[in-house]
Amino acid sequence: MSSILSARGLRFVYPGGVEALRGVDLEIHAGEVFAVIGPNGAGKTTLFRVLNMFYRPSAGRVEYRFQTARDGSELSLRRRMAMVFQDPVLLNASVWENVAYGLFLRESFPGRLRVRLHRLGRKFRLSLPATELEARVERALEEVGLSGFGGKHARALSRGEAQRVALARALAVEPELLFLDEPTANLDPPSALLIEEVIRTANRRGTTVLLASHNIGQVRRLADRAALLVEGRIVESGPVGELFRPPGSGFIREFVGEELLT
Amino acid sequence: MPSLLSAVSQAFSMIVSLDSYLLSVVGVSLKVSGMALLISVPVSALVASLLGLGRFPGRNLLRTLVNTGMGVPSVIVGLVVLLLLSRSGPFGGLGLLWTPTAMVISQCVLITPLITGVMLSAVVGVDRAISEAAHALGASRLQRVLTVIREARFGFLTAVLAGFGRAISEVGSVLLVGGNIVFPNGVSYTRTLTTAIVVETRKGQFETALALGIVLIVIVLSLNLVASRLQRRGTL
Repeated sequence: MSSILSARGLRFVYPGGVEALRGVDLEIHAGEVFAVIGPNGAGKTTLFRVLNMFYRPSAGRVEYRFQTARDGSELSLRRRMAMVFQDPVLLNASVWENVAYGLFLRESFPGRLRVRLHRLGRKFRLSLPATELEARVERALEEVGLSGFGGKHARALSRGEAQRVALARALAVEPELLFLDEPTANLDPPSALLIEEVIRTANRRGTTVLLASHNIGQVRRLADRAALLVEGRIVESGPVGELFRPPGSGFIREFVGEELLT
Repeated sequence: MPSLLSAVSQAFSMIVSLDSYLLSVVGVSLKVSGMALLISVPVSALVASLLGLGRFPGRNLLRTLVNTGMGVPSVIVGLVVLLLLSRSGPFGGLGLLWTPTAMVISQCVLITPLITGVMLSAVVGVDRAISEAAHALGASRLQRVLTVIREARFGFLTAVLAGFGRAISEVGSVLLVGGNIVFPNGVSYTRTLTTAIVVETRKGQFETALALGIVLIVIVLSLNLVASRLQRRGTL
């Protein structure tokens, strides 16, 4: 299987001196769902921030092998990735604006203007065909089960809806690699299952998913492979089926709990 | 001294009949404060964005300076600008004293820190997570900054309105550097709503002073109304 991302010897030290990553090696295969599990403070979020270039690693390197990145520049690599956070971070604007945000970032100035004029025309009840950008926003909203929510204000949404909008916003840019940092940690079970379904669909379409999760059930349902991160080190990794099979390693037993290994 | 009631009724009839003196005074006020706003807003937006989002040494000192500037009394600003522009001052050669330009300058000095301060708190108030989310969705550095500023847009508008409100209702500095001049034909040159109220009251022209006061209050109140509506929208 071809690798889409490989990290070697990643270390990250926060300005205060806290060492959050102590030499992480990681190989993500194109098209898989890879889960990073581990206790709070293990470094999962830091790892994601380094992998999506929010932080520069203190040592080690990450290689990206995207098919569609225009050049090797940081921006064009970043634009093949997207991330959804534990708490939905939405702009103070309509749902439509939020989902369109990533697309607008990638659009040229005339392109942005065209879409704006187009939408303005629609407002005055001119019947205009949808632009490609509008169609993609619509598709993304539909995918998360929120078609018809475009005109709503982002602040008027429930938490579960807001997280679905955040997911739609990430999916709209059709990333090759999607980071999900505990995307369902603060959601009720039905909302969580809905999000899982969307993740599965996106993955089936070819999006590689890197998922940080606490929820072993979720990891089992979604992930092909997983790695256990403890104190900034990967202590265990492998296909999910093998990883959680009893007796399991000491680390896994401690993290998952013996009774959950099957 | 006329009764309050008759003064009020005469004041209204002056407003309704679009008294030419009244109109010219309102015109000077709007022109001077509007021009000051036009100059101050871009400067303030830039400075507030840099102070709010940039990382450089001396940033905290500059922030303190802005906050201090927000509270400087307008007469002090007027005095300093007067000294700078007076014939013996460093910019005396420009011959700007007692002109609307001098008034615009002093109002700029007065309102730029205020506008900057309000914009700064709006920028700083934007959730830090917004910037990271922008990064994670493929924003360039500039796009990230613009996204944060866009999030602060209601605060920016509030700042603009607050700046205009302070400029148009301010007396001290425009009186000192503008000179409160009216042409012989009764048309205002550097007389604003506020300075006119002072003069008319002193002359005993209470109905004129009241008419001016009513116009000023209507302007300031409607600005505040718009500002508070915007704020509500911003925090919806």
